[in-house]
Amino acid sequence: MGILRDVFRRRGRSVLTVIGVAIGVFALVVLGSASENNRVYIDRLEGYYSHVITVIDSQDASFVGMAGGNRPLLMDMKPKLEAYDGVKGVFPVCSTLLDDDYFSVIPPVVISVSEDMWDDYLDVQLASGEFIYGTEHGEVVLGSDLAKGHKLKVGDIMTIRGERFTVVGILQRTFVNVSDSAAYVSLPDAQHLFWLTLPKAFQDSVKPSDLAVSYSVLVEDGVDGDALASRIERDIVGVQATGPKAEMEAVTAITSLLSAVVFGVSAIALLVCGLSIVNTMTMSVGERTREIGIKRALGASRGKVALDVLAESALMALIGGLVGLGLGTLAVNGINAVVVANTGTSTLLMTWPLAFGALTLSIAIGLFGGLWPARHAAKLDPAAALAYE
Amino acid sequence: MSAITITGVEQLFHMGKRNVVHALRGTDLSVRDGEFVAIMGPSGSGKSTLLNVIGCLARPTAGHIELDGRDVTKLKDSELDRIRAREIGFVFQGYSLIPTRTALENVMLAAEYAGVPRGERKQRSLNMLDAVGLAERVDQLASELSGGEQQRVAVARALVKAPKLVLADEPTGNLDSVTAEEILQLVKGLRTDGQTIVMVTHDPRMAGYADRIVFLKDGRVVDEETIRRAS
Repeated sequence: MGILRDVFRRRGRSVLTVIGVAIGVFALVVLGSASENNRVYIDRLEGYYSHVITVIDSQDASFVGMAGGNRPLLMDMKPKLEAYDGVKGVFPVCSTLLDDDYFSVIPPVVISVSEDMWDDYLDVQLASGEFIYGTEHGEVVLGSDLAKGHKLKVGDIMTIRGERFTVVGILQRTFVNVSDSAAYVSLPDAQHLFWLTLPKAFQDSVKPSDLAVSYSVLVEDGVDGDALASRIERDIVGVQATGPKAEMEAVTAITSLLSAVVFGVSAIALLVCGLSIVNTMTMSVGERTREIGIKRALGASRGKVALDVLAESALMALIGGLVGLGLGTLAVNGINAVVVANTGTSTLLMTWPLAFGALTLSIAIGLFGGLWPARHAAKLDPAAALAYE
Repeated sequence: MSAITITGVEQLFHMGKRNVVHALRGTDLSVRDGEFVAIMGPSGSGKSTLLNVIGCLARPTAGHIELDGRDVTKLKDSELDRIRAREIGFVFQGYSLIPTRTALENVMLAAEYAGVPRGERKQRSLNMLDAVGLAERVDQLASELSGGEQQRVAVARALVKAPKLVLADEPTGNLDSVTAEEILQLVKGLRTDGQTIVMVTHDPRMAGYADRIVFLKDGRVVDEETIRRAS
């Protein structure tokens, strides 16, 4: 209690410093949660892509899953891909945007699934309902964010591009935005929905069942997916085959930039916090010179006096850290709720390591900010400090 | 045996580059175990400086100070901290309490630094506050106490560790004469362990409580007077 009273002896000044630390930690938590979301996303993607080669039309620059305007591949390519050594399975994928009017960095998509894909490739768990097995008609399984955004539960009806679908399952959150904001339907349904997006002239020349947007080629363990992707690209004219490494590089390039921005902004915010603590504690030590002299007269060592100052600055930073963490967590949940409601995709993720890291960092800043004032306090001459008015 | 032996102590203070203040000029003094010595002298005579060097708060520029036969001028800072913490009780003119701590916490702080076991600190501090008549005010913040009460707390703080030596710098300087006498009676009365007391004062009446008065002028002991009391 004594130390708390010492910290708030100059209430206004200490409260302002605590608010400063809280703002810094708040920024760290909110920005850090975006970074955490990406980290988990990349971890999941690494698992997701580690044994998958994605084959698309070579003139289609868009990323698989970000369907819409994709140039279709035809179904006759499946046997050609299956013929390669080391290929465990070939899944034709048909996908399209859930809604053309959607505005989001990663818009929700409708994507085809088959029975094998759930286990071998998608690696997702059900939160409620059941999976579809690729032959059903008019049934849909929803990613968690999409279900939450549309307030849908199992048994509800969802209309996609004018077609009615019954929600039969809702997936657990995977933290992979594409997966969490996707609607999974059978291949025939996905082909039909994709076919609906094609220009009328093209619709007449092709049957929905001939269409695929991409092929996911699942490779066997121990097979070099990148080398196999190069071979596929060499052998089959007009396709682009992307191996696990290239796929991850593309994703990492975007997320590492975001992480760098998060790190930069947080570093500046925390530096300002640190300087604010230095200022407060320096003034505090200056004002309490006589008190330090009293403690020294009573036998407190230089180290003890320095520790008292450090404890105060660390406590002030810890209080600021707790306030910032609390407000930051509330903000992360609030922002997520709004973003999911509007786009169907959550972008922030609060984790224990982030909370622990933010608190640890705030204490570290407090200790760092208290170092110079503590050193100054420890070096005060006891007799001179006692005589200080 | 001598509790304090001071031999040829000099203390110089450099005030800026050219101005040097010679606060003590070859001061010699010897104080017996259990003796109560008052130091008197005009302002600037070196009284407080002498008390500081005896109390290991400052190192003299030259000379030797022996406390209980140990030359403290040769000790390391950490050893001086330990002597201040365990063997010396200070009472200052301006009370010098920590204003944001309660009376009890102020006394307990001295007990903590003196190495009183954690379990005993509170009871010993309460006992001491009781002895100085503040049993009802132990949880009051020091800043909320009257001058007389604050000085009582300061006395309790000085004596809670049962020090061998009590150093008091104008302990009654800020108090009215009635309260001042009460405080000195208290200090004398609480000397149950036969502590040695060295007190700096301007006030001849307060000095009259001592066994001996030492007069200081220009940094030297110029006279002394032994008080004889009817026994």
